[in-house]
Amino acid sequence: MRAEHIRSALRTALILLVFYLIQVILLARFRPWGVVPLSMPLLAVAAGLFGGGVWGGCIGLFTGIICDSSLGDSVLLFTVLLTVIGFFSGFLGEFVMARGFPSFLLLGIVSLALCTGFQALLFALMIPAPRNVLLLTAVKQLLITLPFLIPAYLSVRWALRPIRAAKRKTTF
Amino acid sequence: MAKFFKTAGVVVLILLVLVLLLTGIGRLLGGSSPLSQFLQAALSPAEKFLGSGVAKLETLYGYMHDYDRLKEENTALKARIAEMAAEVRRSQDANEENERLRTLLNLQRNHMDYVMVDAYLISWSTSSWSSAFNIDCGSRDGIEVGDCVITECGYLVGIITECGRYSSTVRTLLDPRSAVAARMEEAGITAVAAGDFALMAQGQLKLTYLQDAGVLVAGDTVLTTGSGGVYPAGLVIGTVADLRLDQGGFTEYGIMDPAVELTSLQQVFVIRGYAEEENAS
Repeated sequence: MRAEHIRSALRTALILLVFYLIQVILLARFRPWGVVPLSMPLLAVAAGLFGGGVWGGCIGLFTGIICDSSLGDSVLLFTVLLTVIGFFSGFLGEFVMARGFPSFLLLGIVSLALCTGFQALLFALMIPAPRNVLLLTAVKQLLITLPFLIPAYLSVRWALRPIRAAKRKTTF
Repeated sequence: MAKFFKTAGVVVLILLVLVLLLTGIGRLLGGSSPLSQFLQAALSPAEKFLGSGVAKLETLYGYMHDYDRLKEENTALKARIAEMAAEVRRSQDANEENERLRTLLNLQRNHMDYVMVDAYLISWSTSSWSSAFNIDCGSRDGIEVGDCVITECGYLVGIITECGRYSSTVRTLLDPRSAVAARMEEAGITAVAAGDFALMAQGQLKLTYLQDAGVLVAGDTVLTTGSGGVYPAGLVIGTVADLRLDQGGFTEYGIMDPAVELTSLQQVFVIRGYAEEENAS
């Protein structure tokens, strides 16, 4: 493994830890609007977009494990979902979309909607609850996570800068 | 594009399968996932340390923010303390008499049969779809799934739903999957105090299967019945807040406020065992 890979991995681990601690210690305690923002999927999307499929998949996998562990009610949903999201973000970044903020914004919102949708669906399958309340919670969770798009984008772009620079050098 | 799926896809797929296998094996062996346990063990010291810092900051902020309200509350509380002091003096005589009668009848003091473990809250679940938190005690301390969790005042908090070696998950009363057999202290009727998704965000519970909704009184204390063997009898669940009709307009259900203040919870007690026969009512 090259030095830039190690540097990127360490930086990414640090960002994962910071995001996780913010989510668990601050956001879960205060619950703005009665919901907890779900910022971790954004890290998987950004990692895929900037680092490619393998990075996206691997970071999605770790993020998913952390998410499942801290959520406590989704068993393996996020482990699978975020791996797939990270991997396909890498694929889209490599072949379909430009690696900029607009692409990240679009993919981020889609991935958040997917995650929230799956959570709501799993919940609805287990417990009978009024549809409008479920939908309202899902929308609130999605909206309250949107401000995390910017820090997720900037931090992961910073974390994966060494490998992006190395890739550019190789291509050149 | 095919190369991308052959190289990157295979790596990611192998990793995912490995993790799923590990988790599956952990689940089959009856515990939580080994990866999840490892993460909990690795991250809980940091969570605990930072969590206590945040709690202190929160308290400080609360003092500054709520100064005027606190001042008024303080005056009201002082008056209340004076009232209560008089009440205590009056009840002291009654208590002494009561103590003598207890000794006379050779009765055990309330809840002497409880085998308890004290635990501190590590972190809240980050899910918007449930109400749960982690505590710093696990199977090492003798805790098992299904153990009941209370506060120091004997208020019901919830139940252990997942138990690792060093930490456990407590599902609170507010969670939509929670249900407790309940008894109204004054009205004397039984019901089921259950978590409701629509009420969870407001911090309230639903009282369903009411025996006779007509006798329900707002402010009535709701206690556990002890039937079912999960919760000991006589634990305070909360108080009745309101009586409503369901969407069809035929069935009445109650709304209740839990006695425990979940947002300020820091320490809880897990009941590992109790004398079921004597408690069940």
